[in-house]
Amino acid sequence: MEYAVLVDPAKCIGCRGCQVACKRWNDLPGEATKFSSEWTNPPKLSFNTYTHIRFKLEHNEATGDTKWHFFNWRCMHCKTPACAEACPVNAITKYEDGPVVVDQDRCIGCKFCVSACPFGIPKFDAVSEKVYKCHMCFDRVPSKEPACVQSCPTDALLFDTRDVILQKARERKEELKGYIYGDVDNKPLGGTSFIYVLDAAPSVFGLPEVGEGIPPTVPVIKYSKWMLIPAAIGGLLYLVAWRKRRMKEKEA
Amino acid sequence: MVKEVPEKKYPPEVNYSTVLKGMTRTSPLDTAFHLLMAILLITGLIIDLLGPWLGGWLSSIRSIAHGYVGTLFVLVFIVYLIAMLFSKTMRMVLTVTNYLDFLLYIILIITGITIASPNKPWVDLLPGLSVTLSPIAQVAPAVHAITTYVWILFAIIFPGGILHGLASVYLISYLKKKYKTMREE
Repeated sequence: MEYAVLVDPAKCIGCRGCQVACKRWNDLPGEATKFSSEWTNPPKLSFNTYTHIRFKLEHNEATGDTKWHFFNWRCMHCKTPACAEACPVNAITKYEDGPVVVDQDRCIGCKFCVSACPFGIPKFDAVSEKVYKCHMCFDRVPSKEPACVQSCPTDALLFDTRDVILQKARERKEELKGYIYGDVDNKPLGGTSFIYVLDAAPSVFGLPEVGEGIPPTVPVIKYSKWMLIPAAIGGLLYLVAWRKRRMKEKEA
Repeated sequence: MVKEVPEKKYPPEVNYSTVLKGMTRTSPLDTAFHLLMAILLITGLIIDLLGPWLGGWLSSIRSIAHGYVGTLFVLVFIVYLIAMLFSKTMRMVLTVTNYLDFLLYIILIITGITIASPNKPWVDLLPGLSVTLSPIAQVAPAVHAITTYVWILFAIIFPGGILHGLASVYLISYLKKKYKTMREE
């Protein structure tokens, strides 16, 4: 059964409980950071920060009003993940119940997934030479909800089966007169396991416009090796010609 | 006194050893450049073709034999380019067909650096590099892989490859003749 998480920024108070819970569950060290103008801290995800709260300030030009938006940001756990498609050693797997997980024993640190992900999620650690990202607590799911969801005090994160989450997303969309990002209104990479129900346009939250299919530059990596076939035929013909010439030389 | 000239063997014997010796005599820089390129090509192919089966076993091949050797190759390539500008011998080595090779090398180097750069400490030492490379970040792996296979195709079956081979044979036979005459003198 497929599971999903509903992210509701309108309920988020920016407490960063999810950030701390993620660090604790995954035993990740803290980072020395600086405040950015948007207050997002740490300002970017890293190989030891799998999730963070983004702070976005919306300014209405017409009314002059400003409004803060807070929301949890991490791997979207796409249905057809571009990172998994790009990986040359099959180190990234999309689980049936939702999570997209990097197998650290298989990862060779080639960073193809870093380039392939349209959300810019996988992060490379130069010391261990591996790539890290949120794994949707695949070691907890489905018997327990992900650590970030469990820690959320305002239900801005909800975990359930995908069908239930989609139903809740639709209802909440009606309430907010908003927008669903990740499914229904748009399906980045076939739909995601983290589904946002937004009270403003995705661009206000800085969410990227991502197509339903994997970008064509990703599968090309795998198909390019078929070019070896004409090369191999050419090489074989050359070997045959070379052998014939050698035989002729010997006869002479 | 009439000097006896031994009968010439034509075509000259060409194998990996004679090619390597000939190249080293002509230019150690060219030899280093091609050897490093060969290592990069072989390790790249191993990663791409055997990756699904060997997985994590390829980690050190990727980081050392493809990564650090790749860095060394870039440094040698820079010296090679400088040598090309100032040395007649180096320009002789650069046959017409090598010009396309050069274009492919440059694409492979730029995309290789782009793929390697995320979150690497050396990127901070080169300010502006990550910004410069960011527009091609998403396409870099695909371009890197495609260019490699185009290069293999080019080197094996396209006329460039045949000309490249002929140029090598010519160069080696020329060197053989030259050194034989020198020894006899």
